[in-house]
Amino acid sequence: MTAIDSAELLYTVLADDNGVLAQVQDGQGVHIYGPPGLPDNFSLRKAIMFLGDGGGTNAFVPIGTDEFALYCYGPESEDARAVYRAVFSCLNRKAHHRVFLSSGPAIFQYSIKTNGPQDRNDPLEDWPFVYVSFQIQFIEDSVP
Amino acid sequence: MPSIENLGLKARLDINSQAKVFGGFANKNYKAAAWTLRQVGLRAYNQARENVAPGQGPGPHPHVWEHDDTENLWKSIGLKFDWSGGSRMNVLVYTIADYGVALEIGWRTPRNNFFRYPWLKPAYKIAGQGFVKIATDNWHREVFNVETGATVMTSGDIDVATGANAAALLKPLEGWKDYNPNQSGLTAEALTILTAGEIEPEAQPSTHGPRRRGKNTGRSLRQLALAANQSARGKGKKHAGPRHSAKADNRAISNAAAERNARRGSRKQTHPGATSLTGVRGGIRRLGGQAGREGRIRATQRRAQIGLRALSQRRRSRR
Repeated sequence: MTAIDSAELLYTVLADDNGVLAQVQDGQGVHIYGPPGLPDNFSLRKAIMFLGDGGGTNAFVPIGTDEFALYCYGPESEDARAVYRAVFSCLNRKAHHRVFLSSGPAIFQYSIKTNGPQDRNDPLEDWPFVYVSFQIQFIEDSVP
Repeated sequence: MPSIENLGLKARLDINSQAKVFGGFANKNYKAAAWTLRQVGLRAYNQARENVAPGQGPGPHPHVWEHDDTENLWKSIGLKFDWSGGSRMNVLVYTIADYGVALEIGWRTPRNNFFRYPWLKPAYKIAGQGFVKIATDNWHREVFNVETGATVMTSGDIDVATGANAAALLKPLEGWKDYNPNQSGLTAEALTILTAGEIEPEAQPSTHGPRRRGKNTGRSLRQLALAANQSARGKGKKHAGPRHSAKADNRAISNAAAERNARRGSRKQTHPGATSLTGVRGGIRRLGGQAGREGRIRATQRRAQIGLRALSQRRRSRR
């Protein structure tokens, strides 16, 4: 029994989804980035970046509830929106889903949108992105 | 597409009992719900202000700028209770300082570093977690009909911000007539972008923290953009701002950081308590005296320079 890394869990769920891949995958790979964020050599394209945003624990049920802030980038606002729609379709109300992580099989229990979408522009370089946050619920430890 | 220049931020906590109106101001259910919601809102408000108290939060660029920018944000945070009849009442913790949005959601630097300083969302989450405790205190126990300790403990673990957990959070309201777990309860909605002026701020007593001496020179992103625009108009150019290279950017940032470090070093000798736990005392001491004023002026000038650079960069990317 190994504790589940919720960031790895979220990455795996996103990277397993065909709708998401259709948006953020190109000849240079899959552009989904977890903590600490975008790589140094990143240039503006369709991509997803997510960062942990807190969470809670249920005292009686071993289900973790972690929240993530997702930043859906795109060359244009419409592209960022398309990425967001793919993320939403993938994650919102997604229920009981088994995934395989480096720490073993895990159960993605549920997820729901908690904030957003908000269309924003990066204040420094005007990159368009859509901000949205999801809470994901998962069994805290790997399962048999 | 909304831009950062006219945005604010609000967190909303509401009690929504669609199957049961709150009656009126004399109704005991109204009183209980309103009192509870006000308490939760006040907690969120106080926590949010504490998070951005001067000296506590970061500047727009935590490695280059000083903390004092958060003073405008700190002052701008408001609390508004709203019930206009019917089954729903809200309490809003809000700001119309655009700087608050940037801090909350974060921003990417040209070198792909990402900075953010969430101050409102954690505040209302912390407040929301105390909702059940408040709702089950004293005579509200009767209204919210929480009878067993087990219920309180179970509900107490709930994160108020999450829809998935909302059903458990609604437990204190189960005693209400026509209770429907899908339609009523305390919910929260945070990080809603609002346009400036959407909420009319209520007069807020500035009871938190002592007054600061000296004139405030902290400038928000919007002010920086306005200053840059005015500068551009003054030069009579459509696209103002010097062209520059990434290398020049880095050099400017390095220079600013070196200057910051030098000043920080001298400040540490002069004011060893400048980084106190609360930051408020340190902020006041740090900013006192002629040296403090000069430092603030330098910081303002530097912010204006960086604001100009950001603007020119934005325009360059649009071409």
